[in-house]
Amino acid sequence: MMELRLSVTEARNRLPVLVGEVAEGKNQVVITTRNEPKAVIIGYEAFQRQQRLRVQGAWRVLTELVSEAQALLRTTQEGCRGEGEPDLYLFLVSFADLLRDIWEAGEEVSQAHASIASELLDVNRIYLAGDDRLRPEQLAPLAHVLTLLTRRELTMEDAAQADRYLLSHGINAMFPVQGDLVALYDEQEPEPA
Amino acid sequence: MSASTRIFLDTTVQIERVTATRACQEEIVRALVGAQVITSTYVLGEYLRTLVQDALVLYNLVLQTEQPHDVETRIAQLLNKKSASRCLLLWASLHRAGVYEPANLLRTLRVYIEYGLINRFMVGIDELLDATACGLAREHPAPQGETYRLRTQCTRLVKECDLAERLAEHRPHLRTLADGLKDHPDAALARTGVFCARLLEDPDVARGRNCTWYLGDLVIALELPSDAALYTTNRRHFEPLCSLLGRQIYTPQT
Repeated sequence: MMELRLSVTEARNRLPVLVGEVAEGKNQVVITTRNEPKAVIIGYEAFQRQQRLRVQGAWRVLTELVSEAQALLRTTQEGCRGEGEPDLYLFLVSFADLLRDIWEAGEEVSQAHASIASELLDVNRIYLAGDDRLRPEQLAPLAHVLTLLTRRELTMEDAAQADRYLLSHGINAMFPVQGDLVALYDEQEPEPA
Repeated sequence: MSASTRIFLDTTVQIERVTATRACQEEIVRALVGAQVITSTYVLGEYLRTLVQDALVLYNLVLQTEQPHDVETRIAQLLNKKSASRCLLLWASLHRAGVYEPANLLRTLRVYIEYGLINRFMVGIDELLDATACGLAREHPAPQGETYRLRTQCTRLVKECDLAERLAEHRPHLRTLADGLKDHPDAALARTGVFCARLLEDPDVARGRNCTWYLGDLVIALELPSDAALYTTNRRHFEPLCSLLGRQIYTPQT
């Protein structure tokens, strides 16, 4: 496959032919302005292949990051089983860095992965910056929702269910209110499958 | 509140549960603890075409605006001032949750639109009444290109609810309201009285009028179960209706 470098004007004049050539896989066209490469015309099949590779790459990164975050949560949970009231601030700081990367990878994988990661990020930010303190017993529901991200197929209904699940454990990611939201529930929601 | 107390949340309180000041939100949470909390699909339909629709407007504004502070200017320039006011409340909610950068604002608004706002509507609800079988309550924001689309209008020509049938069952109440409101000093309530009289003749005129607040308040007052109290911030419009129908009303104090 040849790489053709063309200015915008040249590409515009030859566009119908170029589209045919890139679709057949003969050429890849790099569009330049003032000799600087600015955009690429590639065949749709090649584009789809690249998209698939990008998602596969993001998925690998996502699962690695989630494992790392799970390990951090496990260590913190073990630490909380000791004597006295643990300070979870340092956990939240490390968790925030991981969650930001998880969200970025999630954005590449699917909207549902991105939404769940985004909620966890919001929870983290609220507990870091707000007046509420994260309680040790809330680590388990966080770990549960984090684990959802290791499922390759997730829907927005799964994300909505995860949000309801967090709410039922008093974790209000989007509209934080100081007060016990759990008290509004007669029963806890079943854990999302 | 005791467990036997039934509280019906109207659209204004449902919106306050999401966008009010923290003090007010906490007061609402406290007021509902221990009570049996109910709302309806009609209220959900109103909530979708107000707050959720406003979240879509805000999402578009953030998408089109380079600087976040310009979003406030664009909100102020919106023609629909009620929508502008709710957009500002949502904007304040985003800031209250610590969301400021454009990428985060868009991300969080997407979560609000996709499920966050509807989940908050259902928080703590023990029973969702569906007497009117409102068709718009079954709508959900659907992605369309970079933004979303939400159907918020119905027409009288297409029957997609049981509103007319339910109103027809309330003839004695409609008569009470028509008689009680016809000379009301508040022009809007007087119009509600005139509308009740029209509904007595032809309940079908109620369909397709989803944007008229006086119909919405009327439907909510009528679908309110007799053993439930109405929780609303709109005391001005609901008090005369509830008083004529012999219903209880609560309002947040903060």
